[in-house]
Amino acid sequence: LEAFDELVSAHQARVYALAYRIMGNPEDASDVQQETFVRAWRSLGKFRKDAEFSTWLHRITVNLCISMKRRKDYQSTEPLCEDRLSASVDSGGIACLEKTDVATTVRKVMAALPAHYRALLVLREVEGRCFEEVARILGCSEQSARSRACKARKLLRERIRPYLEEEMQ
Amino acid sequence: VRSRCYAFEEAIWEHARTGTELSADAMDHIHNCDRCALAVREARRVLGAILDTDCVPPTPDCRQAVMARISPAERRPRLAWSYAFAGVALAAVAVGGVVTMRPDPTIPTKQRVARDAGNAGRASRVGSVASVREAAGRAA
Repeated sequence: LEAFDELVSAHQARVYALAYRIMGNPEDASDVQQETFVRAWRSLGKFRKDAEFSTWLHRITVNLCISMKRRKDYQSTEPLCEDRLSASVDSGGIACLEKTDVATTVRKVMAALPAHYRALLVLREVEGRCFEEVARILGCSEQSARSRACKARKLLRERIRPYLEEEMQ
Repeated sequence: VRSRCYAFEEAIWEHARTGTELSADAMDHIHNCDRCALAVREARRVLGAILDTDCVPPTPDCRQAVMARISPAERRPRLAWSYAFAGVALAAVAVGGVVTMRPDPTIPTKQRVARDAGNAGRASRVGSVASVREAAGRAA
């Protein structure tokens, strides 16, 4: 238990940062952070020594974030921002977004992306990890991670474009 | 053209994220491709906005909460399960023992042999009493 306490101490900051970037709020990030270590403790026996402990831990974090985000989207009684965004992009406007600044808009568009795309963009574009590591964390092949990254970027650009065009005008 | 755009996409996003210089080949393509030129502008704008506002709040120390959750909650079920498993194993051993120790009716035991021998003796005695009575009757 003491050794595990040390592991928690050493990895909790990075786990929290990853969870915060994917979930977008401190409450959910804190829940995910705690749950990650509890899950890790329960499945320590399944940890293969050939993988890095941090990669394994981040894989648990990402999986928890994705399932929590999907659950929240499913439970949400409000119409999904994602749907409204798609509709607004189709009609050439971006009514769902408060037109404050690019950063706020980008954050909202990111939050409305499907959870697996958001996790991928955070790992690759925000944390700057190589595709080999991204693939290990997401549990897919490197080729698949690259292909998903293309789709995620395309979706992000498509959704943000109307606002950027408006800003440039 | 599309395959060339696809080939440079990674370089464009890498350039937007880290500011690394694009290769001459990539630069040449971007100058002649409106799609990729737009991609560079959008990637710079979007990633700039994401990275500029990427501030993670101070990390809450979750050690106590994690330890509180794994110490009692995780140990008790493990102990309970191990006790339950031990109980089941003991019961199985006991049942197995009773079954294997039960005497086989086809194998003669000492008591059975003695009992059978007693029955045979009584029968022969009964037989001899009857023959004496028969002889006495004949003599009379």
